[in-house]
Amino acid sequence: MQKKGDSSERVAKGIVNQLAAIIRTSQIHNPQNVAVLKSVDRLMELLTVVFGEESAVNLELVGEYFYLNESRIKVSMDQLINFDYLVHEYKKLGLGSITFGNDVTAEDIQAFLKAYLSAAFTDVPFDELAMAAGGISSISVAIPRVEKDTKEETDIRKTVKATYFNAVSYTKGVFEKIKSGEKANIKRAKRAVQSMVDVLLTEEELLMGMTAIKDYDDYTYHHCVNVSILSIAMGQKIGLSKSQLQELGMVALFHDLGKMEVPQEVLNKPTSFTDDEWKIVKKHPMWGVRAILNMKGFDELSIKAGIVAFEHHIYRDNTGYPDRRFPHDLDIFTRIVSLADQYDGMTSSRVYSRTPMSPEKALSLMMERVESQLDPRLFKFFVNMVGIFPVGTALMLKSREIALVYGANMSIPDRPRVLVISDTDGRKVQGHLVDLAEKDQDGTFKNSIARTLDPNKFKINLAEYLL
Amino acid sequence: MEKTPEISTPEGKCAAEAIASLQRARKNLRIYPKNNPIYMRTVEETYNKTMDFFEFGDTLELRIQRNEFMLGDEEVYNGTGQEENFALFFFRDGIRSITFTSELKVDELLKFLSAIAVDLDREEVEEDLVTLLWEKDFANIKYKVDDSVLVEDENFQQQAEDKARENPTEEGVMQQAQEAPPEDDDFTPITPMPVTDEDLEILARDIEDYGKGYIDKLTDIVFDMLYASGNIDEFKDVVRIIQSSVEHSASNDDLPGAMKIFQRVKEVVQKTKSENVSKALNEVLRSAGSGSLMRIIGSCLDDKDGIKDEDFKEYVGILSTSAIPQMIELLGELQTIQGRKKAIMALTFVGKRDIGAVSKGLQDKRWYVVRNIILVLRETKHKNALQHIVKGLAHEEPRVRREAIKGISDFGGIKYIDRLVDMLYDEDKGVSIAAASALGKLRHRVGMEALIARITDKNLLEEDASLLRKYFEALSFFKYDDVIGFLEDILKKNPFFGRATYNEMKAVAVYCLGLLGDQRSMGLLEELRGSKVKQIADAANTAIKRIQRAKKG
Ligand SMILES: [Fe+2]
Ligand SMILES: [Fe+2]
Repeated sequence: MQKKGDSSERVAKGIVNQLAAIIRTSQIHNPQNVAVLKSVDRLMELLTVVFGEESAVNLELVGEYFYLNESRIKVSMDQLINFDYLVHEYKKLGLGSITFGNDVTAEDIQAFLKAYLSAAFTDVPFDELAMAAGGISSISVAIPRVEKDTKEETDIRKTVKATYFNAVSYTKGVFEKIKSGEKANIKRAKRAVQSMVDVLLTEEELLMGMTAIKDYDDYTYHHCVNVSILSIAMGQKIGLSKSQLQELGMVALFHDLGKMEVPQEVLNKPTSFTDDEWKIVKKHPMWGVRAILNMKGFDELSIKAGIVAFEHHIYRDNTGYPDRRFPHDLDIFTRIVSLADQYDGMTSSRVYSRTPMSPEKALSLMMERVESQLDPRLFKFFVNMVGIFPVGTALMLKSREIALVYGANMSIPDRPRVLVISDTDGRKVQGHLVDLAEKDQDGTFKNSIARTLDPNKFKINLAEYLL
Repeated sequence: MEKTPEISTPEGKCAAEAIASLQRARKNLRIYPKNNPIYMRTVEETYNKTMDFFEFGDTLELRIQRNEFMLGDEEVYNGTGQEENFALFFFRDGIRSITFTSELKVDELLKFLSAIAVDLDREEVEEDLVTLLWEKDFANIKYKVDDSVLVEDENFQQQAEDKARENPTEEGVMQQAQEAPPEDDDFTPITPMPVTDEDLEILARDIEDYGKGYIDKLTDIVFDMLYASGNIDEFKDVVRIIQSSVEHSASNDDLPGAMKIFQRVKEVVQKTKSENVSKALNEVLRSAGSGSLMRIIGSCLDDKDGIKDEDFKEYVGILSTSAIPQMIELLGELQTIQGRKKAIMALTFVGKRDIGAVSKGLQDKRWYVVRNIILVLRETKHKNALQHIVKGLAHEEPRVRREAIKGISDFGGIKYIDRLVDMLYDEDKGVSIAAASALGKLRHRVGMEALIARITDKNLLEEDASLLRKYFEALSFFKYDDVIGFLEDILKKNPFFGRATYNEMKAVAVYCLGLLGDQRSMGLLEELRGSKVKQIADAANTAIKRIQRAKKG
């Protein structure tokens, strides 16, 4: 039994390997190439082994894994490249599975390959392939089956994304409405914040992942939402109640409302501010107070939001702006929002600095300033929350694979969960999730961080993987 | 068109009843106050109806469509064409299902009912139904929400995502990253930082303190903004905020808070050299007397513990004369005596600076306002007040005329003595008495003669003898030498009137001698003590005692 299992697994891996090789080589050369023909023969041999037991071979991609006649094929390191390549191809074509009947011939495979290559570069590759390969009775294709688990995961991701973009879209609306003298809808702000609170309770990683992406137009609106998310997450860590979280989320969302009056050209300027522009930008805390109070009238929430808007650039040592004649201690909500604001601001290129900083570098800089500018106590919570390698940090692993941090590991901080985005040779792969805390049978860690990379320097598009 | 669903299953019927009772409860909770028996009964009934369902299962899950509640596949409610579409009420805010579980407690249901009873369409309500339910954090009531109803810009997400993906990571980038020499790290990566118990304690304290004194803080912030404003428009904007913060303080019964703001505004006004600045800020100070603020103050004044005397005094201290019309209005609206007393005090204080403005209140349609205005004018003791007080003599309400007479008397208004004499003949007894007393206090010959003339008026005793006593009291204010002749006439000479009334007149005259308190009348009084008319003898006795007491004292 054991033997048979082993060998059928080897056969399955071989099928994936050969299929990947056939497609790759024929894309470089052509289907009649000797190397391709050799691979086709090897594939035929392997298929025939399976046909001894079964009447067909169904190779299906579910999530990031291949299944051969419904049993999952384990991936080993040495075959990773071919596996990832085939995953990538399946996804590119919109393929769910390929089924070979036991009457398949080498000629059939070559004909299929031809159909495949012609379909691959069209707008609707799967439809083209299905049509072009329609005449080959021994080989059939199908679209991805919607597996329950992956569907659920997709739904969750969808909800998280909708929550995030809803909030951004709402914030944009508020800025625009107030600017044109209309009334903003506070009911919606509350709903948006409540959704964020709810999502953070169950899907913290996904939502935090959203805050790591910076390549948007009008980043100000995203910034407001990011600061709100980071603040709520902080609030959770220090044990705020649900209604306090809502309040914190609201005041954070409106912390930069005063930027509404800073001209768009200045806000979205790709180069550094001039002295005059800085003068304008530095007024946004005061303008924020005015905008918030005008928007909402006077009540407890608007006053608290006004205070945070006013204070969020004032530091512990009384430096920062605006100047105060009548100084008070900074509110705890201000201190939370300040942390979130600095972090999000530093890691993007459109808030205060024009050169974005990698997340771990931003944290390190905040660490240097913490005594004079920030709340050292809250900063501890902040670091524990975002992790010493925050979501979106680009890494090179000991295996030389490139990876992005996806989720912090509370107990082993330097072993986060990561999305591997390249193979060992630096070839792009569809990100797949790896837990760096995972160990081999012999108890050694399977992979580790070699060093961090600056995603901005290497132009890694985080949205491609985290969105 | 109304459509009643046909419900075939017993659980469907039960669910339909539960829905109906929820809808009824929504209505009743709006109408009746918490302590009303119907309120309590409604909650109880709704609870029972909901609990009834749990005979069929542990959960009651109602799916919600635009017009329908669905239990499984069965429609158990249809709101099409109904006066209130109960399904739509939930549906419109995005609620797509509600699930009650059998562990439901009555107070939990009550929270639910009070949430759905809120009138969400009022403009000042900042919550929708989802928010209200979210804040309650139910354990046994779950609901599913579709947030897409909130989306204003349907393309936003797609556009933003497209933009973010616009520049995909290029092939080759990863190799570059792999090959790149390690950066000469100019920063030290951060290390994990354990949180201590002390950290937690201090943060917990900060959280507890959060929000304390937030209005004070805002005030400071707003004044920071005032000093920092770069141009007059910005300045005026801030001034508007100051204005609103005053009103906010006042509407929270925080008069000291409002006062602090006014005081600071005053300080700025005193320091500034800019005319624009002081003009704008003076407007704020003037607003202290604005109608809205005044109404708020008014409700504090009527409330016994609403406002401390010193706070109110401080408030009055900053009021300018432009506040007088609002203060008069307030005076008319106050419900309690103590409230009106404070308002009169305030109006007196401010009114001294503009008697003309106060006097406008004499035109008020409400007689009690007019009377209080006269009272205020009196209290101002201002030389210009008298000419306005006199106008009250012509008022149709006797209580106003009386107040005016007292006013003239206070001011020693000899100039108007003829008017007072006229008032002696007022149809209202009270007015006449007041006039008499005023004439007495004026101690003017004209007044004395008028009083004597009134006393000796043939008709008086027939009209009302009780007035007589008051007139003689008034007479007692004059000098002994001036009135004794008249009194002796009454006491010694023959009656001009009928005997019975004459004895009464004599007794009151004796009483007047007592009031005059002059030793010289002792002989006459001794004599009268022996009178056979008991009424007169008693009066003489009392008068003698009074004079003796006065001598000793
Ligand atoms: Fe800011
Ligand atoms: Fe900011």
